[in-house]
Amino acid sequence: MELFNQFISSIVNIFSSSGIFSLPWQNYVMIAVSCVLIYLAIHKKFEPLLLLPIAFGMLLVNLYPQIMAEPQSALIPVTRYITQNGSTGNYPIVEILGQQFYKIESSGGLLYYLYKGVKLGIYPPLIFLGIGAMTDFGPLIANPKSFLLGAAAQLGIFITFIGAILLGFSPNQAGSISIIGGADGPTAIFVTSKLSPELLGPIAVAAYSYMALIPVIQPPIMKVLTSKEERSVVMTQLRTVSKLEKIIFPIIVVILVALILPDAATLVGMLMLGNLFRESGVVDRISKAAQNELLNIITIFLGVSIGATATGYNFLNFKTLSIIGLGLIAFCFGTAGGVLFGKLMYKLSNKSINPLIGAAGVSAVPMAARVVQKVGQEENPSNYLLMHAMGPNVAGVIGSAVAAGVLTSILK
Amino acid sequence: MDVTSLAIIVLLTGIVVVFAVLLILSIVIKGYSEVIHVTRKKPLPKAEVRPVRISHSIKKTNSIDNKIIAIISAAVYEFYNQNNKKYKILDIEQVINQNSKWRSSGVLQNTLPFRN
Repeated sequence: MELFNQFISSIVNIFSSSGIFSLPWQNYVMIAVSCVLIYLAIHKKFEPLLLLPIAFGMLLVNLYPQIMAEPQSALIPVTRYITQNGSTGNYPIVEILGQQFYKIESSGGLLYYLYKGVKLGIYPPLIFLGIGAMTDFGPLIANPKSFLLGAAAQLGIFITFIGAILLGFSPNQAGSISIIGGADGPTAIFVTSKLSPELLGPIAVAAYSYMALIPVIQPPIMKVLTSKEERSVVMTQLRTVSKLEKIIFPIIVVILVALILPDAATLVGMLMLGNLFRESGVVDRISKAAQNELLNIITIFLGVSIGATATGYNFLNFKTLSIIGLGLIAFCFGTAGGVLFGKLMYKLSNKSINPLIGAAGVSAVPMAARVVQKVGQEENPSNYLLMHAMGPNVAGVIGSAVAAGVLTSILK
Repeated sequence: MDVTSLAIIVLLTGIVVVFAVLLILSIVIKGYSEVIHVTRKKPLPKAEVRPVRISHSIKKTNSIDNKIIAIISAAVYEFYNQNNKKYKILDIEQVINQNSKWRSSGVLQNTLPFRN
């Protein structure tokens, strides 16, 4: 009978310590949210490479919060330990003021250690290394005026900063939220990890969700701000860019940007390193590794650990809704800024530049350029704007990294 | 400094710095491209003055989709542009030719998964 009672007591203890009874209701809401995000990533293909690990990290941490627990260290008096356990322990002994203590350490959760790469600002620059190795800056070199369109599209970042301040966010939080307008996931994560790491979860989810929605968000803004005549402009073919120009480009960019704005050196430097791997032609193996193995591994670690910051307590509040709303504003103003500057260039260039390519200045490569191609072809089916749009598109990557440098320089 | 002043300063500084940095980059890149081509004693390749246009004298407009015309034009332009010569497409006509190499190539490619 006593054995049976102990058995029942053991079963009850296991169930009462299980997640079903110990998790707060907010965690169950987040579990549902993560399932929705997994659906969007798989079925709707919303930026699945990052949204899927983010969503799964969110699911894991809300099912088992200890997966993000910090390592613990406890000091227990040796005499108390022996009294409670009936034998000595196998722990290091520390002597404090003449009394002996066992130092009992427990390791942190898996995602706590993976998250170190985010907290220390390691993963985003490594992702930029892979992106640089995949990017062809030829269209930008062939038409350097595209840099200005990339700059104009960063307008959304700074206008959203004001909006975030007016909504009551602190300057550091406002800086993290506004960088969503750069439409660059690694940049947004890099800035947020430095300025306000407590907002990493909602900002990462907002940034990648909006990047996936670019084909929905951008076209109406592009059509409202341009006329049919402007959208139909057929641009002259880009010139051929030599290999030497492509090799010198990353070296020149990193020297200039790092000298003028040192806070942007990390991101821009890794981007240009990756590009130099690609263009030099003499390190094919490591170029391929940067584009494939390294990028994929870091993407997994980054996504899962970012998602693990989205606990119910951090996510389910008015701030998250505000962040999502401000993120949309940032995207819209970024697109509008690029298109309006494109219109200015259209007028100044005697109608030879199609203003639509300005919308590609948001740095969602190559999605934004594809959207420009599609909208341009709706007016003129024989109009090939894709390569012309790639110039502002890759300029936007550099522009958003520079904007990130400005924000961290002023606000840190 | 109060937050409103900080917000305005961030806005102005951000826009000015981003524009200034990218403007400097565009000037430097344009400059070194010119230098490279001067030192190599080759002029900077000019962009094509006349864009490729598709003539409106297409004979069988009912049977050719505009998208197909666009694809064919791009392929032809890309292929012939390798000699740095400029070509202008005047006409696209659908021709039923059982011995066409293009047709054979397309059939071979599309049936590859089903062969052997």
